[in-house]
Parts: sequence; C-alpha cells; structure tokens
Amino acid sequence: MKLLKRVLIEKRFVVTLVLIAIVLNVGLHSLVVYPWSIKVAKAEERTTRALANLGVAAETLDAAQTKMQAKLEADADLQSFYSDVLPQQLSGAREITYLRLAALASETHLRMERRSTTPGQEADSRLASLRTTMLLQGEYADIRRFIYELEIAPEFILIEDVALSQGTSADSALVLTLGLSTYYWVGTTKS
Amino acid sequence: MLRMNLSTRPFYNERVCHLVLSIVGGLALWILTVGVTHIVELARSNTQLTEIAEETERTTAEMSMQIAALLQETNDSELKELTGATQEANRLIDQRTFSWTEFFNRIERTLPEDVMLTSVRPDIDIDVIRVVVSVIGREVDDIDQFIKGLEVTGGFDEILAREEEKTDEGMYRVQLVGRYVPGEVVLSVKEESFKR
Repeated sequence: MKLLKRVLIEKRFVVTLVLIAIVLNVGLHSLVVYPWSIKVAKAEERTTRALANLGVAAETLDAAQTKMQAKLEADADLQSFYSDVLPQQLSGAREITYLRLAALASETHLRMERRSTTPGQEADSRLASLRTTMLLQGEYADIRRFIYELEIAPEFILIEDVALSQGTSADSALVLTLGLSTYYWVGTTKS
Repeated sequence: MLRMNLSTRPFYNERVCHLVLSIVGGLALWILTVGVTHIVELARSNTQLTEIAEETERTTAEMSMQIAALLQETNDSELKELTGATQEANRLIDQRTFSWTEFFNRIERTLPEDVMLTSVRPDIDIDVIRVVVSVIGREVDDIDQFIKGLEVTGGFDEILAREEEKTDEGMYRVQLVGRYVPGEVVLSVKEESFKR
C-alpha cells in the first residue's frame, strides 16, 4: 500500500488528469448522454406515432376523396339524366306523351278509344310522374308494332302495364289497355 | 552528499507505472471522445426526429381538416338522398330498357293455342325482374303446359300460379307470377314438345 501511495503521490499530476477524465466521463454519461438518449427515444416514439397517424389520416382522406369523387360523379350523372334524358317540367312531359302517343297509335293503325292522364309524385322522390292510361283497339300485329315503336322512341316513356282483351263480338279487334308513365324533375320532395 | 537510507525506499518500475497510467488515461480520453461524438449524434437525431414529427403532425392536422371538410360536404343525409335518387334513376332506366318485344316473342313462342294472354306487368327491382302475367285458358292442363314452356326457355324462373278462377264461360283465368331473366333464351326440342 505504501508503494501505491508513493506512486500516486509521485505521479499525482498524471493521476489527477486521469481522474478528471474519468469524472468527466461519468458526468457526461449520466448528465448528458443518458437524458439525451431518453429524449431521442421519446422523439422516435413521437415520430413513429405521428407517421402511423399520418398513414391513418392518408387512408381516411383517400376514402373521403373517393367518396366525394363518387358523389360528384353520381351527382353529375343524375343531373345529366334529369336534364338530358327526362322531359323538362310538366309541359315537357305532356309534350312527349299527349300528341306523340296519339300520332303513334294512328301510325300503327290502332284506334284510340280512351285516354286518361294523372300527374303524381312518390314520397321522398324529387321526380314527378305523368301517368297515362290508354285504351287502344286493333290487330295484334299492330299492337306489337305500337309497343316496339314506343320502345325504340327517344322519348323517356315507360310501359308499366299491358292488358289485352278480346272484344265482345267474334270478329272484334283486340283491346289493349296500356299504362304508360314519364317522369320529370321537380327538385322538391312531396310534403 | 546523500544522507538518506536508500534501502527504505523500495524500487518500482517507472515504465510500467507510466504504461498503466497512459492506458487508463487514453481509455478515459477515448470514452470521453466517444461520449462527445454520441452526444452530437443524439442531438442531431433529436433535431431530425423532432422536425420529422412536427412536419408529420402538421401534415396530419392539414389532412384532418381536409377530411372534416370533405365529410361535411358528403354528410350521411345527403348521401342517403343521393343513393335514393340514384337507385330511383337506375330503376327507371332499367324499366325503360326492358324489352317488351323480346318478352312478347318469348311468350308467343310458348303460348299454347288454347291460352290467351290478358295482361302483363313487370316489377323491375335492382337485380331481379318479377313479372305478373294473367292468362285465360280452356283447361288447367293448357296453363300448366304454358308454365312449363316458359320455364324451358330459360327466360322465366320460379313461376307460380298465384290466383286462379273459373270464368262464366267455363275458362280458367290465372295470374302467374315469376322471375324474368332477359336475354337468356334456351330453345330446345323439349320446348317444342310443349307447343301444339
């Protein structure tokens, strides 16, 4: 021990320098490196969490944008259907049915016996309908032609009901009762 | 003249002592250098990570605002209304594109001589078309033949005679309900056998 003490005393300058270096190391690691390591670990955790949140947000945004795009496309398609395909207002609906159906019956050699027209609107619908019931009389082939011509016509007229019956006398023609409808956009639902 | 007794001061190896001190000192300095380098790296990492986190959080916040704005524009009631309107439009288009000519062609191909078609009403849903066909037949057998004939074409399915009554003329008035599948005509020898 005496020898070690003597060495330490005799080499005290160098020993002091080494001790200072060791103390500096301990201080540096316990006061700076360790707290900074914790800080960086927390920063890493925050970054990971932020990136995960960003991923979720990006997916949600993508879904919301897709939904919005679909909505816009559906909206545009509907507007196009309402304005380009369907007749405009009641007057437009009347124009494509009243004169057109009578002319078509005449063209296909059918006799129009009776006709009634009723406007209507279903609940929760922004479309109004104009329903026409026609009673036509004629040959079966002409009835088929009338229906075919109506099918290929550009006007938006739906055939909803078809009823056929034979007249009372043996040679009497067929009687066709046709339920037809057309729709037009009114913009408001029925209250 | 040296008066101390040299025998009381034991000899030690100076070189070994210097070597040990140098090694310990060098090691301490190396650890110190590594520590300082580590601190610089930690500081740099911390700055970078914090910047990334802040930037990411900012982007997420912006996205959240965009999402909120989009959700506000596409709220449930509007979407429900739009879905309803789209379904209604699709139903009308399906109804408009329903081919009565094709339908009558199929009926004509299978209608026995003693059965007369009196009314037809299609009920077009999103993925199924149901038809209500009313006929008058001389015998129940004729109507049965008609039903079988319709099913054989492949264009009709699940046909059911929902209502049946005898008329004053002794005929049978029957209301048939079934599923109609447009565009699937399967004409076969078997079908021909139902025709008279």
